[in-house]
Amino acid sequence: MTDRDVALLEVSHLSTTFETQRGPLRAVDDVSLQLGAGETLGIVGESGSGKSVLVRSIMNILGRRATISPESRVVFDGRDTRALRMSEARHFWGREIAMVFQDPMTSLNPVRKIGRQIVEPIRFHLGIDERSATERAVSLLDRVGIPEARRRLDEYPHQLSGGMRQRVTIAIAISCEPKLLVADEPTTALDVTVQKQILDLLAELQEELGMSMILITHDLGVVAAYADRIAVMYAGRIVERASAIELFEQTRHPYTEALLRSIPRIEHESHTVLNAIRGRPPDMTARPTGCSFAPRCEHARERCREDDPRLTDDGRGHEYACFFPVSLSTTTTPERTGPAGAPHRSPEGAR
Amino acid sequence: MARMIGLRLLKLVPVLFLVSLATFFIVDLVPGDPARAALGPDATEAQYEAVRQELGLDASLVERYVDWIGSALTGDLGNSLIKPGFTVTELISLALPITLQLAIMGMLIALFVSLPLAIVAAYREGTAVDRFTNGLTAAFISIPGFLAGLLLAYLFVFQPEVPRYAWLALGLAVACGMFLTAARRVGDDLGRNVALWILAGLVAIGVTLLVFANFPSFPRTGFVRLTSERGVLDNLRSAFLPALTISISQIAVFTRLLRSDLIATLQEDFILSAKAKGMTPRHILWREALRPSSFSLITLAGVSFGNAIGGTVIVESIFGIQGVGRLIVNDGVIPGDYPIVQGGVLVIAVFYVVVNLLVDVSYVYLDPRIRRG
Amino acid sequence: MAGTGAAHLRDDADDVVLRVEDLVVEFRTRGNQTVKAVSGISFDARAGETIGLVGESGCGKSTTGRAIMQLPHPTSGSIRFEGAELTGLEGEDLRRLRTRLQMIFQDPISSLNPRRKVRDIVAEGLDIWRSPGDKQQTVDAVLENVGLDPQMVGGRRPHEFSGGQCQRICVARALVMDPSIIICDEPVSALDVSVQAQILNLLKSMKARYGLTLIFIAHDLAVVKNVSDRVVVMYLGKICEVATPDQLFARPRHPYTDLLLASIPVPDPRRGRSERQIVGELPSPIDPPSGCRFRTRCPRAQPICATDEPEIRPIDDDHYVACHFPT
Repeated sequence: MTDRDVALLEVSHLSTTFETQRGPLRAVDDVSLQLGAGETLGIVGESGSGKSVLVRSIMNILGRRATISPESRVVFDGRDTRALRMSEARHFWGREIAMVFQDPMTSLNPVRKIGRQIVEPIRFHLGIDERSATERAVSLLDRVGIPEARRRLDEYPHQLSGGMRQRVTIAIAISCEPKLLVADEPTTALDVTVQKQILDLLAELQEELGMSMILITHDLGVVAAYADRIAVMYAGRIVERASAIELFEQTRHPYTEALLRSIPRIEHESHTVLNAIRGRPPDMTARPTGCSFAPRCEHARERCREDDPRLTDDGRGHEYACFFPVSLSTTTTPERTGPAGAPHRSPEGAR
Repeated sequence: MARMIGLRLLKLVPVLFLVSLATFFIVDLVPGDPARAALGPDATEAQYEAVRQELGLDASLVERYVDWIGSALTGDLGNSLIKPGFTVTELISLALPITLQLAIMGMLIALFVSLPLAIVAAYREGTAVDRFTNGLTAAFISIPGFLAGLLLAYLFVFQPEVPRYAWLALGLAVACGMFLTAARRVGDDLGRNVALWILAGLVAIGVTLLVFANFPSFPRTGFVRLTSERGVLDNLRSAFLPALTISISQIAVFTRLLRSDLIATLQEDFILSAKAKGMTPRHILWREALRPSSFSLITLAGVSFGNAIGGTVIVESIFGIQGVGRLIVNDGVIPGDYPIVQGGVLVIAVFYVVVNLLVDVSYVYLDPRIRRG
Repeated sequence: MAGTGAAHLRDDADDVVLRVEDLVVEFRTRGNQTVKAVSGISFDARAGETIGLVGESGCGKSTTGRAIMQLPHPTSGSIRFEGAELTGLEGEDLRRLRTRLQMIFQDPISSLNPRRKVRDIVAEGLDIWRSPGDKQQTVDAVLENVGLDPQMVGGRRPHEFSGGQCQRICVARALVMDPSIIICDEPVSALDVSVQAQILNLLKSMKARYGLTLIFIAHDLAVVKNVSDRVVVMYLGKICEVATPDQLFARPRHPYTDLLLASIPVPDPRRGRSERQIVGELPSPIDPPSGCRFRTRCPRAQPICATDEPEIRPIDDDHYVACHFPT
């Protein structure tokens, strides 16, 4: 953890709204976050929780249908990125902050050679000649573990495996030595063994280049192993944020707790009962009043359906947005059913 | 690559064989007797029999086909029945260059207009520019070819001031747009850009005024061959209106198709990732998005080009041009001069097949994923 | 990694409902090469059991699932289902037997016809195979059993539902045929974390209620461990290891299983990341390595692994491994 006073990235009151046929959809709702130099922030959430929209809003790459509210501020390294002049913006994105996307099959242009796709941004941002840019590209590909790097420059993305393609996108992302790398579900489309290779590579590069990292994922295991601090998002908001160890060991928000109890774990015995969360995330165009998680929450009371809990710090850097947080003594002991799967629970939820 | 093209060429042989077969027999099935057509109504039975023999009509169908295709392979498509002394090959070689020039010019005009239009519309999807493009192309699609031709002829030949001032307005609007862009960039520390936009605006004004002052007059009918001693400018003047007529509907469909494909491509992750790399909109549109969006456009352009070679009889009639379309219809089908029909259709079919080959080859160039196998 | 060998198969007396023996599935590519998707695997399933097939993409687990359904017919090998040989069957006989074998897919939304109402989707199999009779009642009962209100959902179309609900509809569509085996091909991997558990619990309770046997195909080891009674680990078209889940995960004997386990990020920050280095990429199934197919990435590989293919052999009580040098 780093000193909050020297935050590299400071996002405050960021809200993003999409115009949809069913009315405005507030995908990100008043989110604030800080990130220190060299720190890794994990953002966990399900699909539709707003985690991807959040970072795309930060990166300013959302399309015309999205509106970022005027009070949103994104300050990076002391500069307000929302007020950047065109000439500044031009060499800011991709150079100071770079991004890696989920699916390496689609995040590289299928009809352009890998060499062009890596050399062009290098030349554009660093203003160096073709030859030195090519040399740099070769050493970058080499660095991210691509064998026969020079030959790859003339190949097209479809000639590489998924893991290799993700290495290429990482090489492109780090080509100008950014201060912050945003990785949006970088391993979701990959196999477990490849996932580990890619995450280890990212962690190594981060240390080597002294980068900060925002790691977005739906996989609690990934953030546990690779993030310093973790923010849990639900329905467009951060509902809990703490250091990785705090979050997993002293979970306070019922949503985080429910998620942890619902995932099958490799260290639990087989046929352990999974405590499924009933229902599903709210319709974002018609958000319920009060806490968004209340309709699915086992601990919800009257107040939760009326008032909106704000994200508050418990004084020790552990924040949560809940009136009735999970008490710290709660421990979850897994139950077990018979080996052939005797009936244990009627299907619940979805109606 | 070369091997692949060779293979494709080889595959063309059976296709062309079938096409020639169909051409020959379908024309043979058309009612009317060629010998009677050649002789006119007053001939005697003996003369009729003689002509039938001379034309080889007494031989069997298969024999006649073998004979015809054999000569066709050497470039001899037979003699015209009605215009004595003319071979079909001569007649086609007079008409084909005109048709080809019109088709190529029409295609170039269509691409020149629709490419930027589609790119701007896709980039500014949902804005006023996009809606304007949508309306314009809708109008272009709904104008039938003959009406477009008559309208253009009326405007450019009889009311030349209208297109002249329209040109002036368009040119000045474009220049204003460039100056506005320059103004918006003032204060940006890349002063170079401001200067470039101002310069572009000045050039646009210059070109506009130059054309405005020397606005060319277009002939109502007739065609000046590229090879005639009257020169290239006269040739272009005579080809402009028919080519523009051909391009009107092409502009509409090309723009709409490319716009929707581009919008789909612009949703792709690699476009997002190019944006995240800080690349400029120009780079993203031209370098990243255009190529993967152009597959359907290329297919359609190939089909349109084939149509323009075979089916421009209306445009040729309006502007009084003796192209392949008029040759087949006016000199072939109507009087029953069947060697002209057979020869003309065969040549058009060959062009269709060749253009399709070019389209296939361009896919290979455009999409590396299909280069294997 | 061999897979050739059948030491882990059990006697027919033990109410084995499905027995796959020496299954081979190969495809031809455009370039006229042969993709060896599945190369001689054997396994069996007892009535009421859940068999987990686990492995990374390209290991042949989904191809195996489809080959059991004869979609397409396997290249060679035998698949016996309730005493009948499936591989030679064609036409009506095959289709009739297939109703007893149902399948659930990864993407529930695209595996439902968007133009049909939920009730019709679920009833479709009945329309074809059963007399009309009390069709309506059967469909409603099944919908209710999978946790959907027939009155509420029957008349709606798939796009009005979330992924989790669509998967429930898929389960209902399978159950209505009164199958004896359901092949679940990655049934939860397209679903959100909070919905996965609902579907897993549903499958478990349906299995108990309808006396089903499940073939559960997945890449997620934790999910497979949670639902399975016996786990088959696959790599590049071969079987590496077969065991009960608790035994397999407590003490993996095949180096590949070991590697897989080390790769899983555990939701426990104190455990940190494993220091294990993972080398290499999956070799091409067009030209798989000789001998043991895992040897190119195996930390324990010796010369013999390149020449001799290891046979599956028992290494512990109900624990089988195909490796020359098990851990």
